[in-house]
Amino acid sequence: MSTPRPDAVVEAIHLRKAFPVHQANPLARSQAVRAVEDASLALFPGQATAIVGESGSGKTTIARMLAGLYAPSGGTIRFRGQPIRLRGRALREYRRHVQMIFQDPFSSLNPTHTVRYHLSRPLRVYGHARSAHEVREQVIALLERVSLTPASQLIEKYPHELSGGQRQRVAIARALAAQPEVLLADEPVSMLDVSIRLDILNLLLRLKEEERLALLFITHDIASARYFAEETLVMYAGQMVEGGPSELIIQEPKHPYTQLLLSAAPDPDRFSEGGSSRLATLPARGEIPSLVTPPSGCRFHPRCPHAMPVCRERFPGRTQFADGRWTHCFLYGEGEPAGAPGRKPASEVTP
Amino acid sequence: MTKDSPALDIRHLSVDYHSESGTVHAVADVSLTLRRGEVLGLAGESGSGKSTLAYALARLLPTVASITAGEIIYAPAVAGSEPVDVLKLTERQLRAFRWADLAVVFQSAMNSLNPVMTVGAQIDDVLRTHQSELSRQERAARAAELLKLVGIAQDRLHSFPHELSGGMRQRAAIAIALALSPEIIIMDEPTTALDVVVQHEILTEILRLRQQLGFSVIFITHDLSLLLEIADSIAIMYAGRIAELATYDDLRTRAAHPYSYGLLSSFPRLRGPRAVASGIPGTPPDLRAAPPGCAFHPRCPLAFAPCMSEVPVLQPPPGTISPLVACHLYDPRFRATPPTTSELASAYATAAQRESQA
Repeated sequence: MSTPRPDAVVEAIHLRKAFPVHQANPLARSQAVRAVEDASLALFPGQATAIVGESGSGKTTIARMLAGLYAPSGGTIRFRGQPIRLRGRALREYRRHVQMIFQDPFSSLNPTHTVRYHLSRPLRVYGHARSAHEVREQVIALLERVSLTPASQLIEKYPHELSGGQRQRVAIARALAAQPEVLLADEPVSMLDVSIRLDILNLLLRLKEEERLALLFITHDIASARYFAEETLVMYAGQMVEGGPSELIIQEPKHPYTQLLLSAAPDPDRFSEGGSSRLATLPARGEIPSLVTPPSGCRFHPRCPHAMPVCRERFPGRTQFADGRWTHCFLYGEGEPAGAPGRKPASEVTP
Repeated sequence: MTKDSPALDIRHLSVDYHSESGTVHAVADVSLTLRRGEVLGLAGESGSGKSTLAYALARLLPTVASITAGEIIYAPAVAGSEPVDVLKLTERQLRAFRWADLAVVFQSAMNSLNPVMTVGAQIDDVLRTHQSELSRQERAARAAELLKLVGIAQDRLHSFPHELSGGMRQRAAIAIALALSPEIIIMDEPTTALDVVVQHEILTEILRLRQQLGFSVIFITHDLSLLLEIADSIAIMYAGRIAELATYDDLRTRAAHPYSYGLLSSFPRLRGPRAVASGIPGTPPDLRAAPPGCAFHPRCPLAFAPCMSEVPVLQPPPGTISPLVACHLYDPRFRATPPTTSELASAYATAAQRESQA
């Protein structure tokens, strides 16, 4: 993991993030929300990676660190193999290549500006268009790339004149205007009506295929991770617990938390015939713990049906499986200590 | 009263919203029956009228809304009591009806609980108002019993809402709804703000309580995949009308209305082939300018001439009794044989292909 990987566009190595908690008493021991502990991941051109987890799992914090919105408390972010500096001109240059799409298209667009303004700003800021004519041409082209037609009519609209799906398309077009290599999509469809979610996911998939974009897809819905991403990473309370090819993770989850998440997910195809209840019985209960005083060792141990004394003491290392999956769980042995040689990307192991 | 007898019978209900830009028919001519002990799911996207319908049942609509037509007949389970039209109740009768006969659990427990009152005090408040004959000790005992019923430890009686987790708050909101043992509980997206694991726990709890206490539930959600797991029958709403009313099993295996079919295929699945799915082209209509005829026709891949002019009636396909479907494809006047599921599938596939080429 410590050697740079030439094929990865963006690589995060042992990222950590702690948010200090402001306390009224200046003499009190300082506290922090330990939102992300030791997260590593790599994004590849033309490939989608999903981070799945519940609220408080740290998935959005990772996306925001990768976007340069939060400075990591520890660890490195590499862009094309080089560690990035999160300030000044270097940060601006980095952001041109790594763009973010936010969850809520109702608040991520400025209500006082038109579609044209939203899309022409990045074109001008990053110097992709110089004259007014070039700007208009490129704005129209962007709208067509995200299937917002007729583009010439939509260009003068304000956000409130657009539907939720159209707004999210404008947000995607704005991200594309910077001509990025990486798109970080933070729950891009969860605020949208069910019938139009797939359209937006399919648009992102098309961009991934046709333009070789590297995509990070943050979601709480494990079924859409399966639909969308080649590789899935599962997070619990700030710790990465399992990862690998999406299909394998969803069909045979290794980590007890992934197993819990899957049995709780709505699944119309799971029907016990003749039984009175169609809901599966959950293997564990409860909610995500406090991140100010998280459980020691593996943070899932208080809820885990298989917890052992060692789970309380330390976080397990990474156990690598032959099929490309890995997990951090003592059920599968000690695992390799942090900093051990890296895994292969899912694209190299899936047939 | 048998188990299958109706608890609530909604007949031709219409609700309008009045605004400066015109009148919006939020609910139009909806007829629906809730049977005793049943979980009736109400699914639809934003603007489908599902919440308006639910609030009309409890007479909780805001003043800009008015019920323009219809009846809501409530048949109490108590022997000897006559069915009543909820729309004709006086304010005084309404106060007795709400909570004791019909309770509502709102979407966000965070907002529906009073932040400056302990959970125990909020339950006590309901009991004191509606069952003034109870002594203080009896009320305290009942509050503790209610919390136990929904799986909250009794020492939480003295907790404020902010001291509880999201799942516990939602459980507390359900406990308050159960305080007077209502026959009907309306739940408006009760699990939407919760994570999947907690959502699953709450749903299991609701089904267990229903079994134990015998109430009926109207469960409103935009998430059809949830309803397939917990509802007995499901009404799919689109633009203020019911598009299809079917048992969960019928809907899952052979959705009749093109909209139901499209909605079901809009969810990525956890099993089976990882096929490219398409969703439904277009967006839900603006009700201020709803399309004429069937409101779904601009998005429907099988729309034909009658759909543009005539509003379809909710009725069973010829020769059957269920499901009820509001679609001209099933009307022998317009089409001799109803479409098969594979015809719906291929129509959507063709529409998606056409769109991606455009």
